[in-house]
Amino acid sequence: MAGRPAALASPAARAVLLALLLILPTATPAAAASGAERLRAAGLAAELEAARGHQLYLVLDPFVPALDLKVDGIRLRRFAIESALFGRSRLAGGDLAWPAFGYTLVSQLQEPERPKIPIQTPEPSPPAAAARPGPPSVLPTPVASTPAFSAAREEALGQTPTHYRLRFAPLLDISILGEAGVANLPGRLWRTRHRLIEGWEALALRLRGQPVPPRVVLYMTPDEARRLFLTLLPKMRLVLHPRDPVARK
Amino acid sequence: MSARAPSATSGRPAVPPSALSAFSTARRVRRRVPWKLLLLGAGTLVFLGLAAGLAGGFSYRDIDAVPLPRPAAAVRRLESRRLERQIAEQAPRGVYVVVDTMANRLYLKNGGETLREAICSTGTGGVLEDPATGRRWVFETPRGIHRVQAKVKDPVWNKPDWAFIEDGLPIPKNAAERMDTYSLGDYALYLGDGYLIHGTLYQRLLGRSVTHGCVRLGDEDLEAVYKAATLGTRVYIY
Repeated sequence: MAGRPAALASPAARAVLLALLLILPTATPAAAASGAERLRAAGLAAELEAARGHQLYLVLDPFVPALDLKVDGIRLRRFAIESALFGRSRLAGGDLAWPAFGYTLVSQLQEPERPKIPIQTPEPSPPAAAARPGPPSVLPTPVASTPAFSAAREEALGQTPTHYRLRFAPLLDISILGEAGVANLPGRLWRTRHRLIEGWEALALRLRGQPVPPRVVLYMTPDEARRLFLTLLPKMRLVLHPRDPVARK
Repeated sequence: MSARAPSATSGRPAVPPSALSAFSTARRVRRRVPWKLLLLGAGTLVFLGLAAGLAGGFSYRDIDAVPLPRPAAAVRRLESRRLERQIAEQAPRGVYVVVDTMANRLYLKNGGETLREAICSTGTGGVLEDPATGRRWVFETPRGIHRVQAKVKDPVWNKPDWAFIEDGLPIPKNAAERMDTYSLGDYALYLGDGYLIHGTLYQRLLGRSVTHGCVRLGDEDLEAVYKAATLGTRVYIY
Protein backbone atom coordinates (compact mmCIF):
# COMPACT_ATOMS: atom_id res chain seq x y z
CA MET A 1 0.00 0.00 0.00
CA ALA A 2 2.80 2.36 0.85
CA GLY A 3 4.68 1.89 -2.43
CA ARG A 4 4.02 3.93 -5.58
CA PRO A 5 1.71 2.20 -8.09
CA ALA A 6 3.67 0.55 -10.83
CA ALA A 7 1.65 2.30 -13.56
CA LEU A 8 2.93 5.71 -12.42
CA ALA A 9 6.51 4.62 -12.45
CA SER A 10 6.96 5.10 -16.18
CA PRO A 11 7.75 8.62 -17.50
CA ALA A 12 5.02 8.35 -20.15
CA ALA A 13 2.31 7.72 -17.55
CA ARG A 14 3.56 10.65 -15.52
CA ALA A 15 3.45 12.89 -18.58
CA VAL A 16 -0.13 11.87 -19.31
CA LEU A 17 -1.12 12.50 -15.70
CA LEU A 18 0.53 15.93 -15.76
CA ALA A 19 -1.27 16.80 -18.97
CA LEU A 20 -4.59 15.74 -17.43
CA LEU A 21 -3.94 17.87 -14.36
CA LEU A 22 -3.24 20.87 -16.57
CA ILE A 23 -6.38 20.35 -18.66
CA LEU A 24 -8.84 19.54 -15.87
CA PRO A 25 -8.93 22.94 -14.12
CA THR A 26 -9.95 24.62 -17.38
CA ALA A 27 -12.30 21.89 -18.58
CA THR A 28 -14.41 21.61 -15.40
CA PRO A 29 -15.81 25.19 -15.32
CA ALA A 30 -16.57 24.95 -19.03
CA ALA A 31 -18.48 21.74 -18.46
CA ALA A 32 -20.29 23.30 -15.49
CA ALA A 33 -21.18 26.35 -17.55
CA SER A 34 -22.52 24.09 -20.28
CA GLY A 35 -24.63 22.18 -17.75
CA ALA A 36 -25.92 25.42 -16.22
CA GLU A 37 -26.76 26.73 -19.67
CA ARG A 38 -28.77 23.62 -20.42
CA LEU A 39 -30.59 23.92 -17.08
CA ARG A 40 -31.40 27.54 -17.79
CA ALA A 41 -32.62 26.64 -21.25
CA ALA A 42 -34.83 23.92 -19.78
CA GLY A 43 -36.35 26.46 -17.35
CA LEU A 44 -36.94 28.89 -20.19
CA ALA A 45 -38.55 26.17 -22.30
CA ALA A 46 -40.97 25.43 -19.45
CA GLU A 47 -41.75 29.12 -19.09
CA LEU A 48 -42.32 29.51 -22.82
CA GLU A 49 -44.88 26.71 -22.65
CA ALA A 50 -46.64 28.46 -19.75
CA ALA A 51 -46.51 31.87 -21.46
CA ARG A 52 -48.03 30.42 -24.64
CA GLY A 53 -51.04 29.36 -22.56
CA HIS A 54 -51.96 33.07 -22.14
CA GLN A 55 -52.99 32.57 -18.54
CA LEU A 56 -51.54 33.77 -15.26
CA TYR A 57 -48.72 31.49 -14.11
CA LEU A 58 -46.18 31.28 -11.30
CA VAL A 59 -42.43 31.14 -11.66
CA LEU A 60 -40.28 29.84 -8.83
CA ASP A 61 -36.59 30.61 -8.85
CA PRO A 62 -35.04 28.36 -6.20
CA PHE A 63 -31.77 30.26 -6.09
CA VAL A 64 -33.16 33.65 -5.05
CA PRO A 65 -35.67 32.30 -3.79
CA ALA A 66 -38.55 34.15 -5.43
CA LEU A 67 -42.07 33.41 -6.56
CA ASP A 68 -43.30 35.58 -9.41
CA LEU A 69 -46.79 35.94 -10.83
CA LYS A 70 -46.43 36.28 -14.58
CA VAL A 71 -48.47 36.41 -17.72
CA ASP A 72 -47.28 36.42 -21.34
CA GLY A 73 -43.72 36.60 -20.01
CA ILE A 74 -44.47 39.81 -18.08
CA ARG A 75 -43.93 39.85 -14.34
CA LEU A 76 -47.00 41.22 -12.58
CA ARG A 77 -45.99 40.70 -8.98
CA ARG A 78 -43.27 39.16 -6.86
CA PHE A 79 -44.32 37.35 -3.68
CA ALA A 80 -41.72 37.91 -1.00
CA ILE A 81 -40.38 34.62 0.34
CA GLU A 82 -38.61 34.74 3.68
CA SER A 83 -37.09 31.29 3.40
CA ALA A 84 -37.66 28.13 1.42
CA LEU A 85 -36.98 24.47 2.05
CA PHE A 86 -37.21 21.35 -0.03
CA GLY A 87 -38.14 18.16 1.76
CA ARG A 88 -38.59 14.53 1.03
CA SER A 89 -40.17 11.87 3.19
CA ARG A 90 -37.78 9.37 4.67
CA LEU A 91 -40.11 6.70 3.29
CA ALA A 92 -39.90 8.00 -0.28
CA GLY A 93 -37.52 6.25 -2.61
CA GLY A 94 -35.37 7.68 -5.38
CA ASP A 95 -32.92 10.53 -5.54
CA LEU A 96 -33.48 13.91 -3.96
CA ALA A 97 -34.20 16.18 -6.92
CA TRP A 98 -36.87 18.42 -8.39
CA PRO A 99 -39.32 16.24 -10.33
CA ALA A 100 -39.69 18.57 -13.34
CA PHE A 101 -39.40 22.12 -14.66
CA GLY A 102 -43.11 22.59 -15.35
CA TYR A 103 -46.09 21.79 -13.10
CA THR A 104 -49.86 22.20 -13.09
CA LEU A 105 -51.89 22.98 -10.00
CA VAL A 106 -54.28 20.11 -9.29
CA SER A 107 -55.53 21.08 -5.82
CA GLN A 108 -59.16 22.00 -5.44
CA LEU A 109 -59.08 25.66 -4.50
CA GLN A 110 -61.12 26.62 -1.51
CA GLU A 111 -63.68 29.31 -2.23
CA PRO A 112 -62.79 32.41 -0.22
CA GLU A 113 -65.16 33.71 2.41
CA ARG A 114 -67.63 36.11 0.87
CA PRO A 115 -69.56 38.77 2.76
CA LYS A 116 -73.26 38.87 2.00
CA ILE A 117 -74.53 42.10 0.52
CA PRO A 118 -77.63 43.35 2.36
CA ILE A 119 -80.57 44.41 0.29
CA GLN A 120 -81.35 48.06 0.82
CA THR A 121 -84.70 49.51 1.73
CA PRO A 122 -85.74 52.00 -0.97
CA GLU A 123 -86.48 55.51 0.17
CA PRO A 124 -89.74 56.90 -1.15
CA SER A 125 -89.11 59.61 -3.74
CA PRO A 126 -91.48 61.95 -5.50
CA PRO A 127 -92.61 60.68 -8.92
CA ALA A 128 -91.17 63.74 -10.67
CA ALA A 129 -87.69 63.02 -9.30
CA ALA A 130 -87.91 59.35 -10.28
CA ALA A 131 -88.75 60.25 -13.85
CA ARG A 132 -85.84 62.67 -14.20
CA PRO A 133 -83.10 61.10 -16.41
CA GLY A 134 -80.08 62.77 -14.79
CA PRO A 135 -78.10 61.69 -11.72
CA PRO A 136 -79.73 62.09 -8.31
CA SER A 137 -79.00 65.39 -6.62
CA VAL A 138 -77.85 63.57 -3.49
CA LEU A 139 -75.90 60.36 -4.09
CA PRO A 140 -77.03 57.52 -1.87
CA THR A 141 -74.28 55.72 0.03
CA PRO A 142 -73.55 52.48 -1.77
CA VAL A 143 -74.06 49.47 0.43
CA ALA A 144 -70.51 48.28 -0.29
CA SER A 145 -69.06 51.37 1.34
CA THR A 146 -71.05 51.21 4.55
CA PRO A 147 -69.05 50.52 7.73
CA ALA A 148 -71.01 47.32 8.36
CA PHE A 149 -70.21 45.85 4.96
CA SER A 150 -66.59 47.04 5.10
CA ALA A 151 -66.20 45.31 8.46
CA ALA A 152 -67.75 42.12 7.07
CA ARG A 153 -65.38 42.28 4.10
CA GLU A 154 -62.35 42.78 6.33
CA GLU A 155 -63.46 39.86 8.46
CA ALA A 156 -63.85 37.67 5.37
CA LEU A 157 -60.38 38.67 4.16
CA GLY A 158 -59.00 37.89 7.59
CA GLN A 159 -60.35 34.36 7.25
CA THR A 160 -58.34 33.75 4.10
CA PRO A 161 -55.92 30.96 5.04
CA THR A 162 -52.30 31.75 5.75
CA HIS A 163 -51.25 28.09 5.99
CA TYR A 164 -52.17 25.83 3.10
CA ARG A 165 -50.81 23.19 0.82
CA LEU A 166 -50.94 23.10 -2.94
CA ARG A 167 -50.62 19.88 -4.92
CA PHE A 168 -49.08 19.99 -8.37
CA ALA A 169 -48.62 17.45 -11.15
CA PRO A 170 -46.07 15.95 -11.67
CA LEU A 171 -46.19 15.14 -7.99
CA LEU A 172 -45.01 18.09 -5.92
CA ASP A 173 -46.54 19.65 -2.83
CA ILE A 174 -45.95 23.25 -1.93
CA SER A 175 -46.72 24.23 1.64
CA ILE A 176 -47.27 27.91 2.17
CA LEU A 177 -46.59 28.90 5.74
CA GLY A 178 -47.54 32.48 6.38
CA GLU A 179 -46.21 33.06 9.84
CA ALA A 180 -44.56 36.11 11.27
CA GLY A 181 -42.49 34.84 14.17
CA VAL A 182 -41.62 31.17 14.46
CA ALA A 183 -38.65 31.26 16.82
CA ASN A 184 -40.84 31.39 19.93
CA LEU A 185 -42.08 28.35 21.82
CA PRO A 186 -45.59 28.20 20.32
CA GLY A 187 -44.05 28.48 16.88
CA ARG A 188 -41.65 25.63 17.56
CA LEU A 189 -44.44 23.49 19.01
CA TRP A 190 -46.63 24.20 16.01
CA ARG A 191 -43.81 23.23 13.68
CA THR A 192 -43.14 19.98 15.59
CA ARG A 193 -46.81 19.09 15.39
CA HIS A 194 -46.79 19.94 11.68
CA ARG A 195 -43.75 17.70 11.08
CA LEU A 196 -45.40 14.81 12.94
CA ILE A 197 -48.58 15.16 10.90
CA GLU A 198 -46.47 15.21 7.74
CA GLY A 199 -44.86 11.98 8.84
CA TRP A 200 -48.18 10.28 9.55
CA GLU A 201 -49.55 11.38 6.20
CA ALA A 202 -46.47 10.01 4.43
CA LEU A 203 -46.79 6.75 6.32
CA ALA A 204 -50.47 6.47 5.41
CA LEU A 205 -49.65 7.06 1.75
CA ARG A 206 -46.95 4.40 1.78
CA LEU A 207 -49.29 1.92 3.48
CA ARG A 208 -51.80 2.53 0.69
CA GLY A 209 -49.05 1.97 -1.87
CA GLN A 210 -49.09 5.56 -3.10
CA PRO A 211 -46.02 7.70 -3.75
CA VAL A 212 -45.13 10.41 -1.26
CA PRO A 213 -44.63 13.68 -3.13
CA PRO A 214 -41.61 15.82 -2.38
CA ARG A 215 -42.49 19.02 -0.61
CA VAL A 216 -41.43 22.61 -0.92
CA VAL A 217 -42.08 24.81 2.09
CA LEU A 218 -42.28 28.53 1.45
CA TYR A 219 -42.28 30.83 4.46
CA MET A 220 -43.77 34.23 3.90
CA THR A 221 -45.64 36.86 5.87
CA PRO A 222 -49.33 36.17 6.58
CA ASP A 223 -50.34 38.99 4.25
CA GLU A 224 -48.28 37.61 1.38
CA ALA A 225 -49.66 34.12 2.01
CA ARG A 226 -53.24 35.46 1.87
CA ARG A 227 -52.44 37.46 -1.22
CA LEU A 228 -51.00 34.42 -2.96
CA PHE A 229 -54.05 32.37 -1.98
CA LEU A 230 -56.36 34.92 -3.58
CA THR A 231 -54.24 34.97 -6.73
CA LEU A 232 -54.41 31.24 -7.39
CA LEU A 233 -56.48 29.96 -10.27
CA PRO A 234 -57.55 26.39 -11.07
CA LYS A 235 -54.97 24.45 -13.11
CA MET A 236 -52.49 27.28 -12.75
CA ARG A 237 -49.04 26.56 -14.15
CA LEU A 238 -45.92 26.65 -12.01
CA VAL A 239 -42.54 26.90 -13.66
CA LEU A 240 -39.22 26.13 -12.05
CA HIS A 241 -36.94 28.65 -13.62
CA PRO A 242 -33.43 29.05 -12.26
CA ARG A 243 -32.22 32.33 -13.75
CA ASP A 244 -28.62 31.75 -12.83
CA PRO A 245 -27.92 28.09 -12.08
CA VAL A 246 -24.16 28.76 -11.85
CA ALA A 247 -24.66 31.09 -8.91
CA ARG A 248 -26.15 28.36 -6.75
CA LYS A 249 -24.55 27.57 -3.42
CA MET B 1 -62.48 -8.59 51.64
CA SER B 2 -64.21 -7.06 54.62
CA ALA B 3 -64.26 -3.43 55.68
CA ARG B 4 -62.21 -2.61 58.72
CA ALA B 5 -64.45 -2.22 61.80
CA PRO B 6 -64.13 0.95 63.83
CA SER B 7 -62.03 0.34 66.88
CA ALA B 8 -63.29 1.57 70.20
CA THR B 9 -59.75 1.83 71.53
CA SER B 10 -58.07 3.68 68.64
CA GLY B 11 -59.28 7.11 69.74
CA ARG B 12 -60.14 8.03 66.10
CA PRO B 13 -63.66 9.17 65.34
CA ALA B 14 -65.89 6.42 64.12
CA VAL B 15 -66.24 6.18 60.31
CA PRO B 16 -69.80 5.79 59.05
CA PRO B 17 -70.48 2.40 57.46
CA SER B 18 -71.57 3.95 54.13
CA ALA B 19 -68.21 5.71 53.69
CA LEU B 20 -66.40 2.49 54.49
CA SER B 21 -68.42 0.69 51.86
CA ALA B 22 -67.53 3.29 49.18
CA PHE B 23 -63.88 3.11 50.17
CA SER B 24 -63.78 -0.61 49.85
CA THR B 25 -65.53 -0.51 46.46
CA ALA B 26 -62.91 1.95 45.18
CA ARG B 27 -60.14 -0.31 46.34
CA ARG B 28 -61.76 -3.27 44.66
CA VAL B 29 -62.02 -1.36 41.35
CA ARG B 30 -58.41 -0.21 41.67
CA ARG B 31 -57.32 -3.79 42.08
CA ARG B 32 -59.43 -5.18 39.26
CA VAL B 33 -58.43 -2.57 36.60
CA PRO B 34 -54.87 -3.17 35.42
CA TRP B 35 -53.80 0.46 35.60
CA LYS B 36 -50.16 -0.31 35.07
CA LEU B 37 -50.97 -2.29 31.94
CA LEU B 38 -53.18 0.49 30.62
CA LEU B 39 -50.51 3.10 31.23
CA LEU B 40 -47.94 0.90 29.55
CA GLY B 41 -50.24 0.42 26.55
CA ALA B 42 -50.97 4.13 26.26
CA GLY B 43 -47.28 4.92 26.54
CA THR B 44 -46.47 2.39 23.84
CA LEU B 45 -49.11 3.89 21.57
CA VAL B 46 -47.74 7.39 22.06
CA PHE B 47 -44.23 6.12 21.44
CA LEU B 48 -45.29 4.26 18.29
CA GLY B 49 -47.17 7.35 17.06
CA LEU B 50 -44.13 9.54 17.55
CA ALA B 51 -41.87 6.93 15.99
CA ALA B 52 -44.18 6.58 12.99
CA GLY B 53 -44.32 10.35 12.59
CA LEU B 54 -40.57 10.64 12.78
CA ALA B 55 -39.96 7.67 10.49
CA GLY B 56 -42.31 8.94 7.81
CA GLY B 57 -41.36 12.55 8.41
CA PHE B 58 -39.67 14.78 5.94
CA SER B 59 -36.02 15.68 5.95
CA TYR B 60 -35.54 19.21 4.66
CA ARG B 61 -32.71 21.12 3.13
CA ASP B 62 -32.30 24.55 1.60
CA ILE B 63 -34.18 24.85 -1.66
CA ASP B 64 -31.12 25.99 -3.60
CA ALA B 65 -29.16 22.89 -2.62
CA VAL B 66 -31.54 20.50 -4.35
CA PRO B 67 -30.45 19.19 -7.76
CA LEU B 68 -32.50 20.45 -10.67
CA PRO B 69 -34.23 17.99 -12.97
CA ARG B 70 -32.18 16.56 -15.80
CA PRO B 71 -32.97 18.65 -18.91
CA ALA B 72 -34.63 16.82 -21.75
CA ALA B 73 -32.32 15.67 -24.53
CA ALA B 74 -34.00 18.12 -26.88
CA VAL B 75 -32.75 21.07 -24.83
CA ARG B 76 -29.50 22.11 -26.44
CA ARG B 77 -26.80 24.50 -25.46
CA LEU B 78 -27.02 28.13 -26.53
CA GLU B 79 -30.79 27.81 -26.80
CA SER B 80 -31.51 30.31 -24.03
CA ARG B 81 -31.38 33.39 -26.21
CA ARG B 82 -33.81 31.96 -28.70
CA LEU B 83 -36.18 30.93 -25.89
CA GLU B 84 -35.92 34.34 -24.22
CA ARG B 85 -36.81 35.95 -27.53
CA GLN B 86 -39.79 33.64 -27.95
CA ILE B 87 -41.02 34.43 -24.43
CA ALA B 88 -40.64 38.15 -25.11
CA GLU B 89 -42.72 37.69 -28.26
CA GLN B 90 -45.66 36.58 -26.10
CA ALA B 91 -45.83 40.02 -24.49
CA PRO B 92 -48.17 42.57 -26.06
CA ARG B 93 -46.80 45.03 -28.57
CA GLY B 94 -47.75 48.52 -27.55
CA VAL B 95 -49.97 49.58 -24.70
CA TYR B 96 -51.52 47.20 -22.19
CA VAL B 97 -53.35 47.57 -18.88
CA VAL B 98 -52.61 45.87 -15.58
CA VAL B 99 -55.12 45.90 -12.71
CA ASP B 100 -54.11 44.93 -9.18
CA THR B 101 -57.43 44.15 -7.49
CA MET B 102 -56.07 43.89 -3.96
CA ALA B 103 -54.27 47.23 -4.11
CA ASN B 104 -56.99 48.82 -6.29
CA ARG B 105 -54.42 50.15 -8.72
CA LEU B 106 -54.48 50.31 -12.50
CA TYR B 107 -51.31 50.63 -14.55
CA LEU B 108 -51.17 51.73 -18.14
CA LYS B 109 -48.01 50.23 -19.59
CA ASN B 110 -45.99 49.99 -22.72
CA GLY B 111 -43.28 47.35 -22.62
CA GLY B 112 -41.46 47.77 -19.34
CA GLU B 113 -42.50 51.39 -18.98
CA THR B 114 -45.40 52.51 -16.79
CA LEU B 115 -47.17 55.32 -18.61
CA ARG B 116 -49.74 55.96 -15.90
CA GLU B 117 -50.59 54.66 -12.45
CA ALA B 118 -54.17 55.24 -11.34
CA ILE B 119 -56.22 54.57 -8.25
CA CYS B 120 -59.23 52.48 -9.17
CA SER B 121 -62.04 50.58 -7.51
CA THR B 122 -62.61 46.88 -8.09
CA GLY B 123 -65.13 44.24 -7.00
CA THR B 124 -66.19 43.79 -3.40
CA GLY B 125 -65.99 40.02 -3.54
CA GLY B 126 -69.40 40.06 -1.87
CA VAL B 127 -72.37 37.93 -2.78
CA LEU B 128 -75.93 39.08 -3.43
CA GLU B 129 -78.84 36.68 -3.20
CA ASP B 130 -82.29 37.41 -4.51
CA PRO B 131 -84.69 36.34 -1.75
CA ALA B 132 -87.53 35.93 -4.25
CA THR B 133 -85.86 33.66 -6.79
CA GLY B 134 -82.71 32.43 -5.02
CA ARG B 135 -80.49 33.78 -7.80
CA ARG B 136 -76.97 34.57 -6.67
CA TRP B 137 -74.34 37.00 -7.95
CA VAL B 138 -70.68 37.24 -6.91
CA PHE B 139 -69.30 40.73 -7.36
CA GLU B 140 -65.70 39.94 -8.14
CA THR B 141 -63.41 41.45 -10.73
CA PRO B 142 -62.45 38.51 -12.94
CA ARG B 143 -58.74 37.68 -12.82
CA GLY B 144 -56.86 36.69 -15.94
CA ILE B 145 -56.33 38.07 -19.41
CA HIS B 146 -58.99 40.18 -21.06
CA ARG B 147 -59.04 42.30 -24.18
CA VAL B 148 -60.75 45.58 -24.89
CA GLN B 149 -63.71 44.49 -27.01
CA ALA B 150 -65.41 47.85 -27.44
CA LYS B 151 -64.83 51.49 -26.61
CA VAL B 152 -67.79 53.77 -26.01
CA LYS B 153 -68.01 57.49 -25.33
CA ASP B 154 -70.93 58.60 -23.12
CA PRO B 155 -71.92 55.02 -22.37
CA VAL B 156 -75.39 54.04 -21.33
CA TRP B 157 -75.74 51.37 -18.69
CA ASN B 158 -78.40 48.78 -19.29
CA LYS B 159 -78.97 48.03 -15.63
CA PRO B 160 -79.12 44.30 -14.87
CA ASP B 161 -81.56 42.69 -12.44
CA TRP B 162 -79.11 42.70 -9.53
CA ALA B 163 -78.89 46.49 -9.60
CA PHE B 164 -82.59 46.68 -8.74
CA ILE B 165 -82.55 43.78 -6.32
CA GLU B 166 -79.64 45.30 -4.37
CA ASP B 167 -81.52 48.59 -4.08
CA GLY B 168 -84.69 46.80 -2.98
CA LEU B 169 -86.55 47.95 -6.10
CA PRO B 170 -88.87 45.94 -8.32
CA ILE B 171 -87.31 44.70 -11.55
CA PRO B 172 -88.78 46.84 -14.36
CA LYS B 173 -90.67 45.21 -17.15
CA ASN B 174 -90.01 48.10 -19.48
CA ALA B 175 -86.49 48.03 -21.00
CA ALA B 176 -86.35 51.82 -21.07
CA GLU B 177 -86.49 51.90 -17.27
CA ARG B 178 -83.19 50.03 -17.16
CA MET B 179 -81.29 52.68 -19.06
CA ASP B 180 -78.89 54.76 -16.97
CA THR B 181 -77.08 57.54 -18.80
CA TYR B 182 -74.91 58.92 -16.01
CA SER B 183 -73.44 56.18 -13.75
CA LEU B 184 -70.65 54.97 -16.08
CA GLY B 185 -68.99 58.36 -16.58
CA ASP B 186 -67.71 59.72 -19.88
CA TYR B 187 -66.12 56.59 -21.32
CA ALA B 188 -66.35 52.82 -21.06
CA LEU B 189 -64.08 50.03 -22.26
CA TYR B 190 -65.89 46.71 -22.57
CA LEU B 191 -63.95 43.62 -21.49
CA GLY B 192 -66.68 41.04 -22.13
CA ASP B 193 -69.16 39.18 -19.92
CA GLY B 194 -70.60 42.50 -18.75
CA TYR B 195 -67.33 43.74 -17.20
CA LEU B 196 -66.14 47.23 -18.03
CA ILE B 197 -63.57 49.85 -17.21
CA HIS B 198 -65.63 52.98 -16.66
CA GLY B 199 -66.01 56.17 -14.69
CA THR B 200 -67.92 56.74 -11.49
CA LEU B 201 -70.06 59.17 -9.60
CA TYR B 202 -68.37 57.94 -6.44
CA GLN B 203 -64.93 59.46 -6.92
CA ARG B 204 -64.42 59.55 -3.16
CA LEU B 205 -64.57 55.75 -3.03
CA LEU B 206 -61.70 55.23 -5.49
CA GLY B 207 -59.05 53.00 -3.95
CA ARG B 208 -61.66 50.84 -2.24
CA SER B 209 -63.17 47.54 -3.29
CA VAL B 210 -66.75 48.69 -3.76
CA THR B 211 -67.79 47.73 -7.28
CA HIS B 212 -69.89 44.91 -8.69
CA GLY B 213 -66.90 43.58 -10.64
CA CYS B 214 -66.18 46.44 -13.02
CA VAL B 215 -63.07 48.60 -12.74
CA ARG B 216 -63.91 52.20 -11.91
CA LEU B 217 -61.53 55.06 -12.61
CA GLY B 218 -61.41 58.77 -11.95
CA ASP B 219 -62.28 61.07 -14.86
CA GLU B 220 -58.75 62.03 -15.94
CA ASP B 221 -57.34 58.53 -15.64
CA LEU B 222 -60.31 57.10 -17.52
CA GLU B 223 -59.79 59.54 -20.36
CA ALA B 224 -56.07 58.65 -20.55
CA VAL B 225 -56.79 54.91 -20.64
CA TYR B 226 -59.58 55.38 -23.17
CA LYS B 227 -57.32 57.35 -25.50
CA ALA B 228 -54.34 55.01 -25.16
CA ALA B 229 -56.17 51.70 -25.47
CA THR B 230 -57.31 50.32 -28.77
CA LEU B 231 -59.60 47.41 -29.60
CA GLY B 232 -57.74 44.25 -28.62
CA THR B 233 -55.58 45.95 -26.00
CA ARG B 234 -54.77 43.36 -23.36
CA VAL B 235 -55.99 43.92 -19.80
CA TYR B 236 -54.29 41.78 -17.17
CA ILE B 237 -56.24 41.51 -13.93
CA TYR B 238 -54.81 39.82 -10.85
